[in-house]
Amino acid sequence: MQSHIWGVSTWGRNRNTLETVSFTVCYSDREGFIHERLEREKRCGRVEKLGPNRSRFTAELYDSSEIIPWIRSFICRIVEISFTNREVEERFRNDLEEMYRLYQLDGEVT
Amino acid sequence: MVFSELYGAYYNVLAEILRLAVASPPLETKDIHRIVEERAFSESILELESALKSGRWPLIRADGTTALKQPPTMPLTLLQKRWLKSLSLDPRLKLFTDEPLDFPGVDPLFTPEDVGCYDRYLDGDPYEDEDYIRNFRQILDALHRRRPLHIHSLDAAGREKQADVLPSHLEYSEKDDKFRLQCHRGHGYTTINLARIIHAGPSEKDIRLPAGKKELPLPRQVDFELHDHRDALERVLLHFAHLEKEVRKLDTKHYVVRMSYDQKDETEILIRILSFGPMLKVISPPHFVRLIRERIEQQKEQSL
Repeated sequence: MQSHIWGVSTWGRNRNTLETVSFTVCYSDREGFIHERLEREKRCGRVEKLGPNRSRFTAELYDSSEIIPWIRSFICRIVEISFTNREVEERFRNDLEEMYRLYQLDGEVT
Repeated sequence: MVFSELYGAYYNVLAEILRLAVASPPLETKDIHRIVEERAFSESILELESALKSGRWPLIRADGTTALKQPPTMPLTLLQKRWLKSLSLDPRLKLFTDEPLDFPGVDPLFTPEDVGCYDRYLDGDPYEDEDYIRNFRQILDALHRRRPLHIHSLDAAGREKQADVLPSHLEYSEKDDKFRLQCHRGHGYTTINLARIIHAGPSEKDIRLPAGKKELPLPRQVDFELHDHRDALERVLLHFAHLEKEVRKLDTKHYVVRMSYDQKDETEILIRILSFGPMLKVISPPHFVRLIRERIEQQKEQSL
């Protein structure tokens, strides 16, 4: 059970079913510590090295909304993200859009 | 609660009064006043004096003597012993002593295996490593005696380095489960993670703070607006509970928080602020705003 709890919740939005969350980060040659961060800070789940500068974290959780703050701490490096709980994914993406607006980045062409 | 509710302030004051009554009778009213004044609350004299003098607490006779033959003691209860035994099982205790408290035949109230710290990182310091314990004690000794240390350690990149430092204090991070030493090298400040120390020993160098230099650098400050949505205020105050803060309320849902932090922890503070998403918006200083903005801009370029 512990391997599926990120914070304290054992009761997600989908009741008893497990929600899968996965995100990939990329980093420069000098930032190998990002992979180490994933390894040392993960409370459960698994980390895969996809390449010299790319790592993926995946976990099956009762409540995937609890992991959002940790994922946000990798902002600037997240190249892929997916949640089986679409409501949680939408909230994550909406929050990101809101952050672009807060720092006046919403209108810029990237 | 296990301790304070049993031997509270009143118990301790009375024990002191009775100790004096046993040691040098007769007790005078002014002795009672003095002890209560020193060890209890200003209004305590009203309750304590009348209880003793009226005989409601039959401990002191009218002539100022006591029926007690021995001074009062405060034996530990079984619950207290079990609690202390549990604490003694914490491997960090061995950093301070080879003889932690022990109560033979007493079962601990809980063991380290009974407690799961879900938000603690997995690479905590090696508290049971003999070299780590020896280095820790060398540092403690140098701190107590205000003596300089020669430290041989590894830097973040794994390169060996040597330094003579004057230790200032030890810091412990609950989240990292690590100790680090804050110290200065005469001309500047430095932080050394204890787990990276290969050897710490006395230094022959005479390291002193230059006149007028503070023992530690002034902390930096960051200001951010807080939108109190999804209990953000409570979560932020709890998350940054260890840092000095000033909170100013703007309206029912908005606050401005000024938070102090150690310059060396800036990246850590930055990613922690990011973890709160749009609930926090950094407004100053400009270099911090720029750091946050750069990260968010880079994220936007990932076209997630």
